Amino acid sequence: MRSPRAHLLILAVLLAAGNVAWTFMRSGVPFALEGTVERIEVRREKHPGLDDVHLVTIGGRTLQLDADVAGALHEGDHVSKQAWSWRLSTPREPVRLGLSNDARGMLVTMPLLVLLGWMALRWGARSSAQ
Amino acid sequence: MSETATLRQHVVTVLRMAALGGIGVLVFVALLGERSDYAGHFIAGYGGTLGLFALPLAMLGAPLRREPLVLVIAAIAIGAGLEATIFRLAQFDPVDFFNQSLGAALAGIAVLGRPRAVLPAAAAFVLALAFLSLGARLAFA
Repeated sequence: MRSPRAHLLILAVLLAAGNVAWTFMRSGVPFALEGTVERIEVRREKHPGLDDVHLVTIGGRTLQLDADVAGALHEGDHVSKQAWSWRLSTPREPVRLGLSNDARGMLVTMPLLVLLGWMALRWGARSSAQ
Repeated sequence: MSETATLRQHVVTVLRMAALGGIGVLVFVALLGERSDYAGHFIAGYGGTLGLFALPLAMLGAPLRREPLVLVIAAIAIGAGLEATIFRLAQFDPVDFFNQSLGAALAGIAVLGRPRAVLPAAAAFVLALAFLSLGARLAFA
């Protein structure tokens, strides 16, 4: 496993896993949350309304959350959830957390790209051996 | 290795460079179409890294063995620096970083073990320009 082939494939797997993990974390599901929503900030990116960054500060901790989750919260709300729970308690209806379109897309796209790299490595080994 | 076999090997290298980037960006567009910036970062990372390979491909020597991993890591570091500075809009976006770095890794895979020559070096340069241009269009369109 010390060959450049293995290193490049492992690197691709780690980067793909990072994408899946980060888009999943934006759902808020992995986090235990308890406290008051102190600040909700929307920062514009390249495509306003589509790729905005939603930063929510709860109990002194700032998280980047999906637009749906951030949109269901108001500053001053007391919210709570356990880590890995898919329900976020708020003063109003509980918010059901879920995978965003980004996270669902990454779950399929990333394995396909790693598979593409793996196939290219196998094909490369065969064609350079000829 | 005969001249014909060598030419065929170089054509295979060019096809690998074009196909990995082309298929990769199509997968992004097909499955994450509304986030064209994701596809843009991926293909820009792929193209930029191919551009780094143009020089070592043009030099005389054994097929590329260790160089791709070193250049991919360098490309990832350059990409991280760009994302943290001139392309930092709302914040340093880890997803953009992962996408462009994954493109870099696939570019390394495309050229790994391939023989050096002017033809694949020139193709790497041209494809780099084309993919970088496509990346900019997708990321900022």
